[in-house]
Amino acid sequence: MRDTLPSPLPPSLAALLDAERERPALSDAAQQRILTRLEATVNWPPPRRGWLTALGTFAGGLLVGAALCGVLLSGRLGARQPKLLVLDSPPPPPPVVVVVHAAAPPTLVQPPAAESLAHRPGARAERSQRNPPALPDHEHDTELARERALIETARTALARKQTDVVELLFRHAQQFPQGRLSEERESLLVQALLQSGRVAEARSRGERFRAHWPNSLLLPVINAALQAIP
Amino acid sequence: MTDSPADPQTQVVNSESVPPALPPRTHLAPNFRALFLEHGSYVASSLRRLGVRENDVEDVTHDVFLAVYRHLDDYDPQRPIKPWLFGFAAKIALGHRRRKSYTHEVIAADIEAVDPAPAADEEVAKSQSRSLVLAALRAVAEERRPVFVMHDIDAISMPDITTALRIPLNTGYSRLRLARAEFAAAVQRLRVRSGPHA
Repeated sequence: MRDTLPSPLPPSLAALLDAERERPALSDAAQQRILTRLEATVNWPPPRRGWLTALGTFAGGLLVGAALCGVLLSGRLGARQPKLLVLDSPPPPPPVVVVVHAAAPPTLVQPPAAESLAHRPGARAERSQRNPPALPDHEHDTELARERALIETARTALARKQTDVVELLFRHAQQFPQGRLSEERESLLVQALLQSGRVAEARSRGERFRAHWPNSLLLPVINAALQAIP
Repeated sequence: MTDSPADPQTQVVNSESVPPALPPRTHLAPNFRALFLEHGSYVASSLRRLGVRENDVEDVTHDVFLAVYRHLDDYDPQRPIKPWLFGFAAKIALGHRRRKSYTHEVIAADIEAVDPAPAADEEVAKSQSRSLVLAALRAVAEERRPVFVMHDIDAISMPDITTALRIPLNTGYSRLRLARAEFAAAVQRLRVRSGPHA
């Protein structure tokens, strides 16, 4: 094997690769964005029953296809029949992916119990039994989309060091006191308060964040931001 | 194609059999969070070196860690983590590049976002060097690039590389030699194209 060992790189190439090795790490903001997405993604509901779903889809497709063929044929033959599709059974509903933010507590103004339900196995099932959703799924999705839009606006404003970030986040808190992105909001709020020089408030918010979400993905970002205070 | 690395320790799963949704874990496991926080930057840098463009790095890093999450139980803690992670990154970057129909070579200015803040000359030089490296890496054949990146940039030993990529040791060394030649030629070509300051 000794004859296959590579020789050292020429110095000019080695210097280039040294520079590449010193590439800056992912920014805190980028890490936070990826973590948020990861958390949202891995909390997807489990896949539906495989073969049953496939069978249902196939049967629904057959019914729709047969109905369409019937309509086309009747139209071609000139039959004056009302063009009404009648299906014996409706096709299976399309899969609905609802991103559930398991770590979101009920509120921030009224701190929940010290132990976060979301971090215990089976927490989601327990919570859904205790607090059944008052809104239909599609309204939850719309609300989540509105929440997300506001949070993303605030995140962008924070990255651009705009001065209205804190206001945007407070607006989120007012509009969505039970919001599923409360954790993200509070994380951004700590950073926004620091950015605007409101250090004491940021510290206080940071402490509350730690108490509410002791296992949060966003905690390292908050810790880093607070530790960077001179 | 599977999104798991070609690792003997890893169960090979056909992508068609992988469900779109993930196992019903209620929250990210603490070890997974720690893994991301410690190695997220390494994966992101590896993806850039493997030809993923700056604008897509976050998305693809997310995809890599999703794949890692699915196979977290397959990881053998006795083995080095970086080659294992790199295996995921290499496979997912390859799929990503093919979907995006990437060309083999782009001009250096496309590679790295320019830092708008004024930087010292040394930093500018390093930034240019990094851009040159990424541009030259795109001229290295896809099958040889992971070996080159892991060996000559990440300083991972060849046995670990060949284990992670599931290739014979001699093939690893052979790929490294060829990759170095391709890389050196690309650097020379890009320097000539960019002028004497590159």
